[in-house]
Order: sequence, then C-alpha cells, then structure tokens
Amino acid sequence: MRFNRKYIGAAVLRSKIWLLIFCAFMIMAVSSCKYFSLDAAPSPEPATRSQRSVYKFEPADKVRLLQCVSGSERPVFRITANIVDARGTPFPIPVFNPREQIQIFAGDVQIKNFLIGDTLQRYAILLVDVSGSMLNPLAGGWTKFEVMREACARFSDNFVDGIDHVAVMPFASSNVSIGINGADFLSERQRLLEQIRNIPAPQSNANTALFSATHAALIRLQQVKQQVMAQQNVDPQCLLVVMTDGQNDVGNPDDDPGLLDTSSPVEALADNVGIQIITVGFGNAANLDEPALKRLCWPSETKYQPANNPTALDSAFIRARSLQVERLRITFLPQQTSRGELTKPQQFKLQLRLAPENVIEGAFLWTPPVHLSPPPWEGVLTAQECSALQPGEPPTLPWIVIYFLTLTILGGTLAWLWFKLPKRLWADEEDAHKLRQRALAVVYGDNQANKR
Amino acid sequence: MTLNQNLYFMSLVGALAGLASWAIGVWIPIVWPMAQENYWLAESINLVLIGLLIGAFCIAFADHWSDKGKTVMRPVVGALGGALAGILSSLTSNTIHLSLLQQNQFPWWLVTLGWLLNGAFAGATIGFIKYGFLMRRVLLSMLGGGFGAGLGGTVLHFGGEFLPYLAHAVGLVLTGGGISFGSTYAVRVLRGGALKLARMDDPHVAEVFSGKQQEWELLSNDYYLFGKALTAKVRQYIHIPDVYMANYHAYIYESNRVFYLKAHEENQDASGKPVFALNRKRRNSIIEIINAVALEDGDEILMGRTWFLFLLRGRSG
Repeated sequence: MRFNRKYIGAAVLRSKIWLLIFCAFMIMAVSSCKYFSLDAAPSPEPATRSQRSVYKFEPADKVRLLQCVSGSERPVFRITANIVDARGTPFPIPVFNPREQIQIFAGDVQIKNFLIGDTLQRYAILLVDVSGSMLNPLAGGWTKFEVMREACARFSDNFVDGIDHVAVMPFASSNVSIGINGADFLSERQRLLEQIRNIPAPQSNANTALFSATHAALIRLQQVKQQVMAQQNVDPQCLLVVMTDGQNDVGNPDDDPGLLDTSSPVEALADNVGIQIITVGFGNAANLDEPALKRLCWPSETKYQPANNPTALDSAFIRARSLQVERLRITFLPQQTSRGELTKPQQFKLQLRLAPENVIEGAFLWTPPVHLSPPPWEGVLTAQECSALQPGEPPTLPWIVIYFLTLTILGGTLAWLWFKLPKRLWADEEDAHKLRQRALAVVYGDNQANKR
Repeated sequence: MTLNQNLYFMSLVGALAGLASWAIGVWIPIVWPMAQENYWLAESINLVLIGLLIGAFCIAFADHWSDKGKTVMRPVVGALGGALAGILSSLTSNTIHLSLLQQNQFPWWLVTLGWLLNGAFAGATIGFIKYGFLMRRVLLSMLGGGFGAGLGGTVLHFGGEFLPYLAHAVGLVLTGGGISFGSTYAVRVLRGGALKLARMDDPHVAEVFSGKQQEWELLSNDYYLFGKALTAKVRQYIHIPDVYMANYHAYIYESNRVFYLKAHEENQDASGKPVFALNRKRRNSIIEIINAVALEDGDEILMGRTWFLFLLRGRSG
C-alpha cells in the first residue's frame, strides 16, 4: 500500500530507525554510567569536613516528608539530628536564639521558613542479652546480669511519664520473636523499674540470637512508630539499644529454628527504617564480635559502645539515653510548592552557629521514590504548625484541578491522534479505497458493491 | 487495517493504557500516607497496575482488530502477565534502588533505569503472551518496552520539577506507547511477508472487513491456517467468514525462506483436489492448488470467493 511521505511522523514510523535509536540510547545509558559513576552521584557532604568545629550533626532519623495541612499539596520536610563528636558522643544542643543560630540550605538556597521542636513522644527498646554467659561473675561478686539490670535502670534516670515509652526485651536463643513481640512499652518510670527488676534470670545453656533479636526488635519499633504516627499524628523519637556480652550463636539443638546467622538482613532493614540503633558490647574483644556490633549500628558505627566494666556499661546506657533526648528536630518548607515537583533527591545542609568561628554542620539527603507517582506523605502537620511555617502564603492550585487538567490535555491529544491524524496520514489509502468501492459498484452494479 | 495502521493504533492503545494507569495510580499516595521505608510498596502497586492495564489493553485491542475479539480469556491472561511483569520489575528496580540508597547515593540515571527496567519487563511479558517462546520477537518486544519507558523516565527526570503531574503522565503515556509499539513492531521486523485482502465477493467477508484494508503479517517458521470456522486449535488462525470456504481451508507456511500454500486436509477430496476454491493466480495464469505451491511476491490467492494478495517482506506494509 502506498504511503503518504509528506508526514514526517509516519515516515519515522515506517522506517527501522526506532531500533537504531534504542541501541543509541542503550549505548548512552551505559556510557553515562561510566561518566556519572556512583562516586560522582550526589551524596551528603561529610560533616566531619567542617574545619570550624569538632562537632557535627548526625541524623537520628531519616529526612521525612510531611503534608503541611490535610488536603494540601505543599510539602514540608523534617530533619531530626544529634550533635556528636567524632567518636559519636552526644553534645547538648545549645540553641538559645534559633533564628540567629540556625541556618538550613537546600542546595545553595537558604530556607527561611522553619520550626524547631514538635509534640514530643519518645519510644525506646532496651534489647538485652540473657544468654548463659550473663551469669558469669565479675570482680566484686556481681554477675554480668545484675550489672546489666542496674545499667538499664540508669536509662530511666530522666524518664518523663507520659512522654517516654520504654520496653525492656530480654533475648537469648529460644522464643526470640515471642519475647520481643510480647513485651509492653511502659509509660511510667515505676513500672519500668519494676519490669527491669523482673527480667528473668538467664538459663545457663541459653545462646545468643543477636541478629534475629535485633531484626525483630527493629520491626517492632517500626510498627509502633507507624501506629503512633497514624493514630496520634505524632512522629515519635525512637531508639533501639542492643546490649550483649557475646557473639551471635545460633543453630544449637535448643535454639529456635531459622534464626539469622548473618547481620546483612538487619543492616538492610536498619538502612531502610532509619531508626537510631546503639549497640553496647559488654566485655572485651575476645568474647565480643565488635565488627558485627558496629555493623548493626545506625546511622554510623560510632553508635557502638564498648563497655568492659560496670561503670562503662552504666555510661553506655546514659549516653544512649542522651542521644534520644538531645535531638534537634527542624521542620521546614522547601522551595517546591507541590509534592509532584519532588522528582529528584534533595540535599539539605544544616548549620548551627555557636560563635562566629564555631559552626556545627551536617548534611542530609532525602530521596524520592524511583517511579511513577509523587512521593507519599509520611504524616501531617497540625494547622498551627502549618500556618506558623507559611504565614501569608497564597494557597497553591488544588491538586484535583491539576489532575483533571492533565487528564484533559493528554486525553484530548490521544483522541486527536486516534480520530483526526490517521485521516491525514493515510489520506491516499482512503482515496484509493473509495475509488475501489466505486469501481466495484460499476462492475457489479448492485447494492452489495456499495456495501464493499 | 494495514500494518502501518496496526502499528500506529497499537501504540496509541499502549499510550491510552499508560494514561489510565497514571489516572488511577496517582491516587495511591493521595489516599494512602506511608513512611518512606514503605515507598517500595506504593511503587510495586503502581508498577503492577501499569503492567496489568497495558497487558489487558494491548491484547484486547490486538484481538479485536484481528477478529479474535470474542474471548475475554486472552485479555485476562494479558492483564495477569502484565501484572507479573510489574512484580518482576518492581523487585528488580527496588533492589537496585535500595542497594544504592544504602550507600547514600542517588545517581541521576536511577529514575530512568527504573522506568527502563519496568518497560522492558512489561514488553517481554507481553511479547511472551503474544508470540510464545519465540525469543527474537520477545526480545524486540522487550526492547520496544524498554525504549518507551526509558523515554518516559527521561521526560520525568527533566520535566518533573517544572510540570510535575504532566511530566509523570507523559512519562507513563510514552511507556505504554513504547511497550505496545515494541511488541507490535517485533512482528513487522521479523515478518517474512504479508497477505493482503484484495477483493471480497462474499457479503459476509465484506461485512467484516469492508473499509479495514486488512493485512496479516506472515512470520517465518509459523503456520497460518485460514478457514471459516470461528476458532481453531492452532496458534495462528485467520478467520475468514466466507461461506464458500471450508471450515479449515488452507495453510500458508514458510520453509527455507519460501512461502507455500497448501489445502487443508478438510478441504481436499479423495484425489487431493480442493473441495472449495483454492487457486493461485500469477501473471494471468490461474492454477488450482493440489499439493503445496510456492508463492512469489505479487501472487494472488483465491480462497472461496475471497481474493488475497501475497507480498514478500519489503513490499508489504
């Protein structure tokens, strides 16, 4: 059938050039991987590069995307961070005049609209090892187990009833999931201390399911966090403290079946969930698997705390508590006015000015979902927070209008391509077909030909 | 419908499926707030939705235009296959995404790669459904899907910040169009010839095909059975509702790069002659098909009261 060549689109359609274009595209993709290697991809500038302070900001949670107010498309980001030194030791946050001291940058653009703090709720899990080795005595006649209970109690020193919610979860190598999922989060200090006193004594033949227990505890904490966000519209500050005096030791006859013998699943989960994990190794390098304990930490391995005596163990728990309490939480409006614009990673820089020559810095990265739809909200600000963030800003175009506008434009285009363009593209064929019909009508001279 | 028209409209069908999947999928994050650690779930649902719609649309329209539109089973299989493609592509792209995020990295090409993978998987799956395990065709279908989706991801990458929703929608329209284009174009590239409906002297045939300028691609290594029966238990069956044809009338097949025409056993009498008309006309000489007869470019074939024009690849379309 003859083809109308005056239409470029149809000519392209006819040719084999599509295949060539695709090959060229693949070559470009492969070569661009070479030039835009992973090292060259945007990544947070390590805060330790700051020459002006020995301290840095370190994430205590992932950067979260929130909805300014229900029904709005205005995105809001929230950063939660600790100030720590190079060894990960927390530093109390000395913010006296936030507007003067704190600066946030999205790329190179300074963000003016931000809030500090929010409605406070704290959730923590103390995951403590009660394997047989915890019965070993220390100098002074106390067992490791007794020392551990004392250290747990220190975690509750500055407990605030109603705000703090702590669950103590002893683990060994049997009934690991049951023990972790059955533990209660307690919101009163007295009840917590009672629970710590009642931690069951270890059994001498119990082993250490360190990886499985950490994995289960992390999932439990994630679930609790999501429940609190959904039910109370509060983004709680979460912490997981893992204390052990040994190494992951599973696969023995009395152990639960299917316990993890590698830390990889826990590391992947920790990276995904973004909950701060502090590991405490009670003992020395001979009885501990320190590399594994460092790997389990989030956000960095500085969250590993070695403790080779009772005092150090107390300090480790106090330090863990400080990391949960001493957090700076900043909520701010990015430049984008619509969530749909968030198709690329957002790099934020946080600066806290203590003195003209003393600036604490930290870099934070938010990544969008790869495909298809705009990123889902992770929570909603209250109306007061939202109005405090964007005073006097005009409302953006309602999402539903954008939706139907887009649908109309593209639907109309497709309809035009379906009904109108083919008549132009294949005008010759149309004409030829009509001529054939007329010729048949002449030859047959009956209605049947007309039908043809 | 000519091959060019088929290619054009099939691409539009894919684009329509892409637009539909955007129109539905865009509601997922609206009605379902979630933590970013669960983004993969929304992504997966979205990908499955896209695969499902493209699979169902492409197969349904292809069947409709090739007069196989009476069964809903193939579109359902297409939808399920597309959904499977969505699951596979979400598994792959989420794995890559997470592994890069663990290194705190988000290279610019990640979005395009994710889309490309999705399109390639969907294209391959639809190729499998349409052509079975014929690897070259499936591969071409996969390339088409990957190309369209890669283009869609690129549009999103460069246009997403300026026209966020429109860029998403255009990306999906291109993805759907690309997948459908690729899976249709696979046949065009690999066809050995085509059979064109030239003259319809039977009113039933005219009723079905009048105004459609119908052509069929003839692929190498395939048997094409022609007949007036509604269905046949062969993979490539072409239904011609000509009352002067046998239920199963004739075969066209390729062997050693030559196409042959042969009467079906049901259309042969004891001496091997066709019961219903089956002739080949070449340069004004008409022969009756008794055994298999080779076809050349420009041969006319009469089946019942319907004339076809045989075209070798290069002249067809």
